[in-house]
Amino acid sequence: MEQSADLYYIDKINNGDHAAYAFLVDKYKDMVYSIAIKILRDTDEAQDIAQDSFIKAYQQLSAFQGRSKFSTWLYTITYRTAVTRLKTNKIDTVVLGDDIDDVADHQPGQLDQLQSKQVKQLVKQAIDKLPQIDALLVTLYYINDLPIKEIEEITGLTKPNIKIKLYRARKVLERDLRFLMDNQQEGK
Amino acid sequence: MKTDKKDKFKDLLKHAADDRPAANLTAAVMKTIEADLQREIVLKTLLQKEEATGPSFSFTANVMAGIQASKPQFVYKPIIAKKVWYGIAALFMIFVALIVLPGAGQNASGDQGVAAKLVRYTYAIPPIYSVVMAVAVILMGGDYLLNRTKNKTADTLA
Repeated sequence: MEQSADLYYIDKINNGDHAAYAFLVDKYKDMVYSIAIKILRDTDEAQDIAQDSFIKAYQQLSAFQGRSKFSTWLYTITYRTAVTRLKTNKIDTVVLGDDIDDVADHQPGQLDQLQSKQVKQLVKQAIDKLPQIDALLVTLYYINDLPIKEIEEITGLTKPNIKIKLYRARKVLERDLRFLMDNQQEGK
Repeated sequence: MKTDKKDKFKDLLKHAADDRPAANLTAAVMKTIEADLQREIVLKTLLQKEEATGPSFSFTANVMAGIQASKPQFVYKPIIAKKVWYGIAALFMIFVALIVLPGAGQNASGDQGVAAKLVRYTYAIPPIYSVVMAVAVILMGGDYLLNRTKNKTADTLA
């Protein structure tokens, strides 16, 4: 259903209705930006890459044959563009593991005092502590519910590699967000 | 001798008690797996609470502006190339010169030359053909000039 709506707009664009592209931009801008920011970790650069990705996708739209979902195709372009920029920038990808300790030190009793916004920020911080690719995989798999097969297409990583990275990332997140998880389990 | 020793050693080892896991090993493994799955579900629920960050409000407008800028401009091409026009002009001038210049129709010996024959044949063409040709030339000329004007305007806008 979702895919057929995308194809309808793609068809309109290919027939000269360029304004129809705004629908696709609006629909996928958050996820495209999310991929870019997970890899680049800079809001301005992420914005720039997200924009470039949409323009690239538009320019290559006539080559899109609908074999995969439009979203997968678009995310692949975004991923590759972001990774290329990352390599160009030669950003040091060393992960600092100590900063999260203050999060892990919270006691379950203190959690009641945490506002919902703070919980969101703590989760975001924990994800941001992961290596870029791992953070992206967590975002795609756990937050956006994408199947492993689609993640394979987007990132070009193999299925076992994705699974290993996801498992390791999960263990790190479980450790770092232990107090939040305990509270969540108690609340059930 | 050596083989005998090896066999005896093997027999001796077979007498050792079998290594048997605890009776509840399967249950323990399954419990661990279930607990792990449960933790994964809890983590997933928690991760979905992540503070979502989106691009700026003007993002879509910026992308659409970028698309407009990246669209290839349509280049107007005249139907008749510049070189052809020069050729037509040259032929026309030669033709006029042959008609206008005195004695152009005769060569030194007084015989009628090719030019004079051409002029004679031209006069023999019914006037309607001349009118059609003149109209066609005017239309093609107009088309060429209009396209030139459009190109100049497009270049100025770009």
